[in-house]
Amino acid sequence: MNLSMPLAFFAGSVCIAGVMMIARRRILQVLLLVAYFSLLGALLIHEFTFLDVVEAEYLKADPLAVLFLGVLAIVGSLAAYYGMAYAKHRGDNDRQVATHNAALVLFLTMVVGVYISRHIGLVWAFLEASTLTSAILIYYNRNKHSVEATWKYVFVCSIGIAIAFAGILFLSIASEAREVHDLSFEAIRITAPTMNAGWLKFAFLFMVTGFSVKMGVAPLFNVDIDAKDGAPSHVAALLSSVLMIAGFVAIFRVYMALAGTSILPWMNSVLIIVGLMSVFFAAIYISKIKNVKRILAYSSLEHAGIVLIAVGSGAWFAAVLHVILHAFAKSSLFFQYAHFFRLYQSKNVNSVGDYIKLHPAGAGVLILGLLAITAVPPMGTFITELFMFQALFSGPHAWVAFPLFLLVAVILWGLTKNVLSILYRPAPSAIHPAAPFSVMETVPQYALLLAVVYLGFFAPPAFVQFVQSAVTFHP
Amino acid sequence: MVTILIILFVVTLVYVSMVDRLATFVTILGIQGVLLFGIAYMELRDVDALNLSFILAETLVFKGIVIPWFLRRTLRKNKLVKEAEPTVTHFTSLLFVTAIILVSFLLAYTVHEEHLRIGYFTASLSALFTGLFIIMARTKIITHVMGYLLLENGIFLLSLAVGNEMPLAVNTAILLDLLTSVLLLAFLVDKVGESFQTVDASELNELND
Amino acid sequence: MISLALILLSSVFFVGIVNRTKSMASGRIGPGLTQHLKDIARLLKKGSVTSTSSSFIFQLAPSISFVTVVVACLFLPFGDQPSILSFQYDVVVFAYLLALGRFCMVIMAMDTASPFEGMGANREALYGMLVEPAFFILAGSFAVLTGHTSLNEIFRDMHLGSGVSYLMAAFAVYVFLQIAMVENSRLPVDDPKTHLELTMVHEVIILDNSGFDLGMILATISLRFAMFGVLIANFALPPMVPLWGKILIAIGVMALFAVVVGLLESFRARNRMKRNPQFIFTLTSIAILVFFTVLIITNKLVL
Repeated sequence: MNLSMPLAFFAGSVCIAGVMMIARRRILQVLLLVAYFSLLGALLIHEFTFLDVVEAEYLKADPLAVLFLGVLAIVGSLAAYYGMAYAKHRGDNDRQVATHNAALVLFLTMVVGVYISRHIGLVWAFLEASTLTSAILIYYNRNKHSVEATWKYVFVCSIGIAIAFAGILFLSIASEAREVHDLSFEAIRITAPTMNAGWLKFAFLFMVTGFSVKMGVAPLFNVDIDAKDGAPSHVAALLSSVLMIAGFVAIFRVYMALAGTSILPWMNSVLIIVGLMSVFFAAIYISKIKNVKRILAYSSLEHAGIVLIAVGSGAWFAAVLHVILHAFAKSSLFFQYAHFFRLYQSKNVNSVGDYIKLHPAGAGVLILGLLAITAVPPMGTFITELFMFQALFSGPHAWVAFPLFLLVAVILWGLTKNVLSILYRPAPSAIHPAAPFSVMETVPQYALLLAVVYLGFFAPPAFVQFVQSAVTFHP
Repeated sequence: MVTILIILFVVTLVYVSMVDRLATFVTILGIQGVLLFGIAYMELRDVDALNLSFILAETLVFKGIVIPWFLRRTLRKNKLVKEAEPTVTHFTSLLFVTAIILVSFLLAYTVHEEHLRIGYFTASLSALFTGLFIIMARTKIITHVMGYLLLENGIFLLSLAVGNEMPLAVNTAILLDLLTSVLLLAFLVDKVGESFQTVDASELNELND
Repeated sequence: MISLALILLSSVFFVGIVNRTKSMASGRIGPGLTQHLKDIARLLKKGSVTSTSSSFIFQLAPSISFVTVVVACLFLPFGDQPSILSFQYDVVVFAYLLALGRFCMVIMAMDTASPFEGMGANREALYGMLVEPAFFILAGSFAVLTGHTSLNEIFRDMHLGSGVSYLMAAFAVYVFLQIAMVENSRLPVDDPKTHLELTMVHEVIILDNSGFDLGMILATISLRFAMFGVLIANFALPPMVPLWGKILIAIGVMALFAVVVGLLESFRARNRMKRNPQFIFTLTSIAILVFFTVLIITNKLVL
């Protein structure tokens, strides 16, 4: 039994990133990426085999971590693939590509660290590290937009994460009063019921505020939208899938650790308020703005909000499944957005059209993606939102369902209106006729969307059981 | 002795609110690093040597020397001298910071907890809120970075107040993160200066809905 | 008694030392140490000219101002030697006597109806308002520290023990030094040598005064300066030293105070008008810190 596998993974990733910076030839880069994702696969298999085993003192992969590792492996490898395609298409120089790939590798590694840490301080450290590495990814284009997005993102993330650290310190004040010096989630969970509820509330509030910027929910969602707008589309895909999950993991683990205390109803209310606010802002903006990339980003805001509402109303299973399905659907759409932008060279809905004729395969992705992010039946997101509403109705916050219905309807209207306009409006004459898109390039996007259908409606019992076990406790 | 250092730390906060020369601001940050070094040294003398030397390096070397040096370099490169047009006048800032100190004291007093000394708690909360206030009140993004550093100092002090040291591995990770984030932010200030020809936060409005 | 004698003694030389320091710093020989006394004496011999548009307030104010300072001096003890006047809460009376003097000067300036003097009065009132909380918070701190409310008892029981209290005393001395500078209209808040009405504060208020009144005002200033000198010297008095030693220390401290003022005025630029409120308010902030420190070290907080 090789218990230091995660450490080997971290060391290997850093080595690969280092080599990437030196060996800049395109073919070598591809080989190194393949090597990295094989390593990631090995880690996934390893963690799946040794579920719930503490490794290197501070690391432990529970089913939740393994699930999200799987998502990260899939979305991460596709993002790397689309990243290479993006660079090739734009003719970026080798140095830029090498830096980007190295940052990608480090970024994914840091997010892996967030998933599998069992110590709250380490989760914090990995989250901050993921901010720093993602800065390089967002900065990719080196133009005004990307500089601004990077600056805002790094700065507000750093502030947010500093606030979260204050939250951790409050938690540690509370635990210190009980003579507990261990801040691993298990230890907190055991002793939390005896801690001072006031400090715990403070701690939870600060941590949710701080981590909200990573998950991309209210109150600090603005920079997240800007980052997704300023970054290349495959990076935006990572931000609204892998990184959103990282923020979710941080919040969810804290929530679970404190779930045995008397402040559970209060935490539920906080999460539901945060979620409702997020959906509210998403609805306002989606119905108003015309920038396609930002519309997608605001839709991520909506889903992150829905996930928190699901957690707050007790539908933890739905929350975890929803965050996974959303990761697939949204990254598929962001990957598709790269084609869209390549075709029109514009983000504005008003200056594009006729997508269904110009790029039929892409239009298909767009339609299916629209169904997925508006939670229309063939898509698994429908099931999870249904669960969420069910739990909401049976809980003490049933009233939230009504404004939520209204807001979701507004979002449905806004998204559909814009997508239909992209698909069917007569295209402006300036568009070059049918840029050559190989169908191969859209296959992964279809695959992701099919996964959303499959995992929602035809999920194998083993998978359901695994998700189930991810939201129950393991001593 | 620790109390003296903490009081001096709070005095630097009062001073920060009224400086308009950015180089002075950087000097104050350096002084704060040294003060934090003193406080940490007094406070943690009985922790194991490795952890201690680590924290001392963080305060004295990074907060006291490396970061101020790097910030000065950024100031020179971007030819920044003064916070030209503070949206909030210095007098108002001073009022605010004084109010912050008052409120922090009252807060520390009301949430009294025997594991938490009032002096520490007041100073750390004051630094935290002063940092946030500076970020909100000033326009230059380099000043924002400095506000962030103030905030970090406050949190460092809070962690001393709590006295619950993180394990060494976690500590290392946290320290590395902080250092890199500051360097990255200072680097980005350079880049913003290059692309936007200004380091005024209100000019950063290329991205909007 | 001793404090009053010291105040009178130092008021003779104080302004002289300041002026001498300034002239030496700028490489001049400068006037003699008692030159300002001669000036005052000359002015007191003259009659004063008053504008027909001004009322009795204009003539009354300088005298009232002078009297307030004299009475305030009576409250000052010297170490453990009691002052002439003393009762509970005389700290408040002390502060408001000074405020009364200031108030008289302000209404006197308003009385002339000159736009310049109105502006000066405005500033004077603003600075007075800003300096007051600093004084009261500081006085309150020492009241809490010693448990007494009269200047007499406060200075009698104030023994500095630990390092923290030295720091506190240092802050207190700093704040009192600056309060003295503000109250006496010196740099960096105001510049007695300025020639432009627009930048004057105190000088513009007394623009219309002449002869006897002006002499009175100048005498008030040197007396008030000496009074603050004794106040500050009180902080430096060690309790164990015999009386003559204390007197020597006090004289030394006051001479040092005068030299410091002179040096500050020589090497420091005057603040821009806009910065003054903030400069003065800093004193309050520091006073608040002193207050908190006192609360913490005396365990007055019910913890």
